[in-house]
This record gives sequence, structure tokens and C-alpha cells, in this order.
Amino acid sequence: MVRSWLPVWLCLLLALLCAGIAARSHYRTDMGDFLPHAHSLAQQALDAQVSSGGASRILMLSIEGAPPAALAQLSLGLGARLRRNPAFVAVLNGDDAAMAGVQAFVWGHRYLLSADSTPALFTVAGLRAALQNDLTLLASDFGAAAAQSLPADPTGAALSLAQQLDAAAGHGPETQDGAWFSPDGRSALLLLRTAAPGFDIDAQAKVLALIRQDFASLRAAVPGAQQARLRESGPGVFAVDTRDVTKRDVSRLSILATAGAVLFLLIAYRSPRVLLLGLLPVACGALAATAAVSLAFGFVHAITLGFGVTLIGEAMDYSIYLLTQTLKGDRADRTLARIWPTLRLGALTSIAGFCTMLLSDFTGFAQLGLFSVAGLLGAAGVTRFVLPVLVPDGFFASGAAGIGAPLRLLLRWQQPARSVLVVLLAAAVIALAAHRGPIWDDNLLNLSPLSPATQALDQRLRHDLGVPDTRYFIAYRAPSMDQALETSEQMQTVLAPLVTEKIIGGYDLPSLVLPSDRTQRARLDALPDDATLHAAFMQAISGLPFRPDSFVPFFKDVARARAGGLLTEASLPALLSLRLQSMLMPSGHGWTVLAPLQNVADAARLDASLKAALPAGAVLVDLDRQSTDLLHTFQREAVTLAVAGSLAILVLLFVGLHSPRRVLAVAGPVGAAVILTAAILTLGGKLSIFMVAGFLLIVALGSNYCLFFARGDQAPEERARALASIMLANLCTVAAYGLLSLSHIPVLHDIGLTVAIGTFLCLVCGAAFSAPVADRLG
Amino acid sequence: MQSVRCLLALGLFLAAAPRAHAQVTWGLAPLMQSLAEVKAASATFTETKTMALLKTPLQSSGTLHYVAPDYVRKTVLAPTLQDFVLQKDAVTLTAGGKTQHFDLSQAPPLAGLVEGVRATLAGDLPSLQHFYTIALSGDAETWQLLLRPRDASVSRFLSWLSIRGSGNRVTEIDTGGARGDLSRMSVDETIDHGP
Repeated sequence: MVRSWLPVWLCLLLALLCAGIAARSHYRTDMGDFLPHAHSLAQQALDAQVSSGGASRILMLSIEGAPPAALAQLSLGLGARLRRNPAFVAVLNGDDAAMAGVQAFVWGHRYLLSADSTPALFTVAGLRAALQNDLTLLASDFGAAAAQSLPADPTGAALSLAQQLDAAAGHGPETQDGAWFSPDGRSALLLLRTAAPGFDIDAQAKVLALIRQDFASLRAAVPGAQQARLRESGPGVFAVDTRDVTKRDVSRLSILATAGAVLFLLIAYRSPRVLLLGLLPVACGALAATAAVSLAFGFVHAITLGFGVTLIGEAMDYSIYLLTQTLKGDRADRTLARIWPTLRLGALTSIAGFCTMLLSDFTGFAQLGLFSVAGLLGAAGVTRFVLPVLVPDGFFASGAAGIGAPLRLLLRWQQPARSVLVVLLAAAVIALAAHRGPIWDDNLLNLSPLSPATQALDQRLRHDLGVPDTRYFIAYRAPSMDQALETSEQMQTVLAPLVTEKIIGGYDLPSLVLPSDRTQRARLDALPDDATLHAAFMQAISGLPFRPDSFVPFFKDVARARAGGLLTEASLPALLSLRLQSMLMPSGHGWTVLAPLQNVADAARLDASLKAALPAGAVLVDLDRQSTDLLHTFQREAVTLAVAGSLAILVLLFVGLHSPRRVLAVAGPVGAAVILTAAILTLGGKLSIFMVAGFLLIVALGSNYCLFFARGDQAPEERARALASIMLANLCTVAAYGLLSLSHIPVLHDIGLTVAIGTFLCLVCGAAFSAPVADRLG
Repeated sequence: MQSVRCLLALGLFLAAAPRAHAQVTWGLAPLMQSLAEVKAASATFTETKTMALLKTPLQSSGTLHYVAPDYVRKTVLAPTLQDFVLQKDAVTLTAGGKTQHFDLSQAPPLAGLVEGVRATLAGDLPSLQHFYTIALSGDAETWQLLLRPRDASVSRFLSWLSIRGSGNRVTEIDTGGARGDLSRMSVDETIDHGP
């Protein structure tokens, strides 16, 4: 034969092109990009909280394992260092220095910020009432402290603002030696807010490295602190840990999985060169898939990449079928001509199955669908056009004969095997039908790759630091920031009574940080000019024991407030600015407000009292329900896609095989294997959403086995090679996916387990139920 | 200063010594011990505050209640009604129909203002030493504790605190504030040794 090298060169060119595109692609890790586009306010709330909201920037540190004095010294030292770093918006640890910026801001703008700045306050009666209150304070045991601020703030604007800020910020932990401590006194606590959102994993990793480095150098310098340990928690830490664990697991397990598959291939092929050729379709397929996703979506999600490679594991089988089924003395291209119709149908059915994913609302599913479709097309193309050219003449997979032995044994005992399988199948159907309670796992935490210990540390630190995992929010939209602030002020009159009635423990609103222009202007207008203020004050003070000349700072500060302008977002110190941004964010042409409600005691009463009182367009968002809803949509979508994909495969089988009987011969064993797998998996607990993807893979891989099983028109020798190739393909799949099931990462573990069990059962069922050939084998 | 330290060391030493000796050689530890034995006490007080802010001193009078180990209530009856309750870390101040809450664990400077009196009443030497440097003078019959805040955030408001007493009774609490502010509180205490 004269080989045409054109396909090889073409393939090389395309591979280079794809590699070029893949190298220039944007790779994203943000979970938000993987989820469906947020339509409703509630979905937007979840999205904002999950990916970039203020809650995602929280970093909690615990320093433990040394005497309290050393721990406090470490905490204060670390706080001082981190505060100098722009990567942190806030470093709170009980040290007053952390709040200095906010205190100076509140003090400097107290008349614009205080709700008490009304014309009534600056009348004679208003001032007199304030001064009388001052006398009470002076007479109390706090008199010495009050005496400091009274000359500049006789109306007590700053004091009430400070209390209001404290109430909204929640109570910090107890202070010991100037630093925050846990209630058991064993760990010093710090609460940080990073400038980068929690899911900017690279930035978070840098931040963590920086903290650990600063801590290590401090620990060396503080006497008695050598045993001290630093523990971190928070969304950013989780994101980094998850990525690291995933990276480690993926690289370790995929090397093992490849090694497992390669070992079987080496036994079968006995040729390293052919082994490499066998990997060529998968490699080219992955390149093509990455390039296709990048071109279609503008970015490739990290999950698509990691997960997609497991989806196109089928591509591995293509070369196995070709290389193993080549008979002694035959040529690869002739083998291909013989098996291509079956191989093509197998590839097309899988591609049809994955095509349904392209229609999904979930960006993640759509990307995975395209990745699989492009990957399988590429791999099938390489198997069809390139591989036959490259396989050396006279290649024969001499080690494969033995590999097919168990299958031949099974075929010899086909009748008893069928009986056993029918009984098992009946038991599985009964077990699934009788299954009580939900089959799907609704606990989001079980999808998380974090260990229970990590989650427990997070719970403890959140509790000790008083950082609640906020569940309820008020959400609304507004066309401009100022209108959002005005509505927020309206909201304040709705929410304040709920606190008094103890329906909620507290709340935060953007207008508590930055009042609207209208409110600020009204407060400014309430400030009298110097002469008027002076006259009213002198009249108010008469008869009281105060020295009038003590209050010069007050007149100066009021005059300065009158001369100053209004506050804008830009005037806020970093800590308050972050607090505002976490509640008030631009969306589309307007702004979205998310106001957290703390310690909701009675959700039903809250809902009832808000229903009537909330301004039009504002809604109460329950984040837990949102995320459960999202998970349900996700599950529904996954099941729909898997069912639609399986149907598409069935339709293609009809088209390709022309006969219902032959379709049944292929689809029947696959269906039986799926039912058995589902029953086995439910024995071990609930099914996870990731297993659904596994089921689609079982159908895609298993239907290929059964297509080869169902080929009746073969010579015995061809038949033996076909059995060997199916067995080898399945061995590689079970080895690779079985190893993945050892992973601690739910997605890898669940898919690995499902596919390993399911494809093995496909092999067994396919062999047991394959109709015509048991006796022909001889 | 050296004498203070000697006194302190002596006091600590004596605290460990048998009780019979403690009655003979008096010091900080025996004083604290005798104060700690008081389970509850009530008193009337009159207070005069002289402040730079004020033309005339602020006079007030009322009652004091103490229940071991950490409850102190100061009720001003004249000239206007005012109630100040300190329990553990929670402070409630009620005056003129308004109630304000403070948390001492959140506000170390405020703790520095009130802990001196409470820790003395409780005979709680570690607390006193945590917040102040301590100088004791006099004898068991008429003693004076002079406390100076250790923390700069407290000494901004409070330069010193003097507590005078006789036996296990407190008779006078004087406070020296910033800018020469001065508060003098005389206490007429009756001790209730409890059940």
C-alpha cells in the first residue's frame, strides 16, 4: 500500500493550531461562571455572596498553642504588619488601631451621619435637653471619659453613632491583653477582610502565603511562642485548599490512572511505540476540545478542563478497538475498514448523547457538552484518518489474546450467568422502587471537598468572632445609587421595629454607612450659623453648671461641618467602603441592594411582617432556600440531560442498526447495567449530582461494548479479537476510573465509582445477553 | 517605687503564711483577703465632682450595693435619678428615661474606669494588678490604696484612683481625672456577711 501522509500532516497542523488557541485561552476558576446566569434578584444575591460579595472576603485566623501573653503579642504584631499591607481592607483583632480610621471618619462627619441632626436639636430647648443629659453622664462613673468629648460634642452625636455602628457590626470577642480571644482563652483571634474577593484564588493564595510568612517571622521573635500555631478559615482559604487538594488529587490520581491503563496496554501491545500511538486520539481530542470551548465561550472553566478529560475517556477505547482487533498479518487500515461502521456508530451515539448538554442553561454543562463533542470528534477523526497511517506494518497485539479469556469463560457459561443477572436485576428494580426517602443528596456540604474538621473549625471561628453565616437578606433594585440609599433609609423605618420586637437580632443597610444626598442636605441645613448657634447655646446653658468657654471646639466643629460638602462613596474609609460595597453593587444599568438581617429568630413572623411593610420591588431572600433551589435545578437539569442524551443515543441506534431487535440487543444490557449500578450506589447512601454525569458515561461507553458484542457477522478469529478489545477497553476504563474513586474530591470520587462499576456491569451484561454467538465461538 | 515593690513582695509572701501571722503583719494580701470575705455590702454615699468643664462642683448622693464577686450597683437619688449597674462585663446606665448598654470586654478604657472599685471590693488582687500599679499605705485601721492605670488608653481619662478604708470597709473613693478633674466620694458602708 502506498501510504498517504497527508492526513498526518493535516492533523499535525490542526493540533498545532489548537495548541496555539489553548495556550492563549483564558482559564477561569470562578464558580459563578459555572452556574447559570442569575435572572432573579434572589439568584443574584446568591451569586454575589458566593463569588465576590463581602462575605467572600472574610478571613478568620486563630493563633493557639502558647501562653495567652505570647498569643496576644503575636496577634497584635501580626495585626500591625498586615494593616500596613494594601491586600487587606481590614485587620481586626481587638487592637484599637484597626478602628482608628473609622473612628476619625465618624467623629469628623458626625453631624452629617447622625440622625439627631435636626433643626429641633439646635433650638434652645433641644440644646438644653442635650446638656442636661451630659450632666448625667458626667455624674456617672464614665464621667471621666465623657469629659473628654463633651466640649466638642455636647449633643452626643458621636456617642450614639458609635453605639449604632457597634450594633450593626455585631459584638466582637472578649479582649485579653489588648487582643481578641476565644471564650476558652486558648486562642487569639483575628478577623481580616481581603481586598480581593474570596474566589480570586490566586490572590487569596498570595494573601495566605503572606500571612504565614509574617506569622513565622514573628513567632521566631516572640519569646515563649515557639509552639504557637496559626490556623486559617474562610471562603478564600476554602477556595485555595480546594484547588490545592484538587490539583494534588488530580495530578496524583491521573498519573496513577494513566499508569494503570498503560500497564494493560503494554501487556496487550508489547510495544511502547504503539502504546504512544494509542494515546494519540485522546491527546488530540483534548486539544481540539479545549480550543473549541475557548473559541465558543471566550474562556475555559477549570472544571470543564478537569472534568471534561474524564468525559472523553471513551476516546481511549477507539484506538484499543483498532489496534487490538487487527488480525495477525493484517493491516491496520484494513481492520479499520472492517470495524469502522461499528466504531463510527459508537462514536456518533456518544456525541449525540453529549450534544444534548449543549442546550443547557448552565454555562458549565454547555461547556462540558461542547468539550466532549469536540473531543470525541477529534479523537474519532484521528483514529479514522491518522492512526492507520502510523501503525507499523505487521503490528499485532500479541498479548491481547489472554486478556479476552475471562469473557470467553463467561460466554461459555452464558445461560447460568443470564439467570443470575435476571435475579439480580429483579432485586435491583425492587430495591429502587421500594427506596424510601429522597434518592438525591440535598446537602450542599456533601458536594464540598472540605473535610468535616475544616468545616468544624470554620463554624467555631465564626461563632467565636461573631461572624454569622448570613442567611436572610432584603434585596431590591434602584436606578441610581442615591435612590438606592433613599430606599434604604425607608427600609430603616421598617426594620428598626423588628429589632425592638425581637423578630430579628439586627440588620445592616447601606444608608447606615452613607446617608442619601437628600438626608445629608437636610442635616446640613439643620446646622445653624455661628451667631444663631451661639445665642441659642448661651440661652440653653444658663442655669447649668457648665463653663460656657469650654465649648469653643463645638462651635468650631459645627461651623466646619456647615462649610464642608456632602459625603460620597469616595469619602469613606476602606472598612466602611467595603461594608457599603458588600451591600450596594452595580448591576446592569442600576444598582442592587442586599441588606443582611442577623439572628432571625422567627422566619415566619419575619416574612409576615415584611410582606405588608416592604416597599414595592423589595424582597426577602432566604439564601439557604436559594442554594437548595439551585441544587435542585442543577439536579433536574442533569437528569433531564442524561435522559435526553440516552434517548438521542437510542434514536441513533435505530437509525444505524435498522432493526428493533438489534437495538434491544445493544440497549438492553446497557439499561440493565445502569439499573444495577443505581441500586448498588443507593446501597452506599444517597446519589450525588455528579453520579448523573457518570450514568451518561456508562451509556456512552457501554453502548460501544454492546455494539461490538452484537456484531454477528464475524469470523471466529475476528470475534476473539473483538472480545479481547472490549475486555481491554473495559480493563483500562475500570483501572482509570476506579483509581479516581479513591479521590477525596466528591466530583472525582463519585464519577470514578459510578463509571468503574457501571462499565464493568455493561461488560458482564453485554456478554451474558449477547445473542447469537456463544456456540459459534467453539 | 522600690518600697512599693518590697511591700508587694511582702504581701504576697504573707498571703501564703498561716492566718495567725497574717493578723500580726498586715499588708496588701491580708487586706485583699479580708475584703474578699465580704459577700455583700450596702452603703450610702455623697459625691463631689470638680471638673474643668464645670463652674461649680457637681454634688450627688445615693446608694451603693455590692454582691460578691462582680455585681456593683450605684443609684444616684439626688439631684436626678440615675442607675448604674455593673454585672460581669455588662454595664447598664439608666438616666432621664434613657437606658444605655456598654460592654466592658469591648471597651477596655471603660473597664479601667470601673474595675478599680469593683476589684477592691471583691479583694481581687490579680484584676487590680492587671489594670493598675498599686501602692498601699497606712495600717489595717486606716488604709489607702493608690491605683494608677497601666494602660495609656485609660490614663488619658484617669490619672489615679484612691480608695481609703478601715478594716474591711471602704470609706472614701477619690478619682483624679485629666486636666485636674477631681471626684471625691465618701462612703458610709454597712457590711452584710450573708447567710
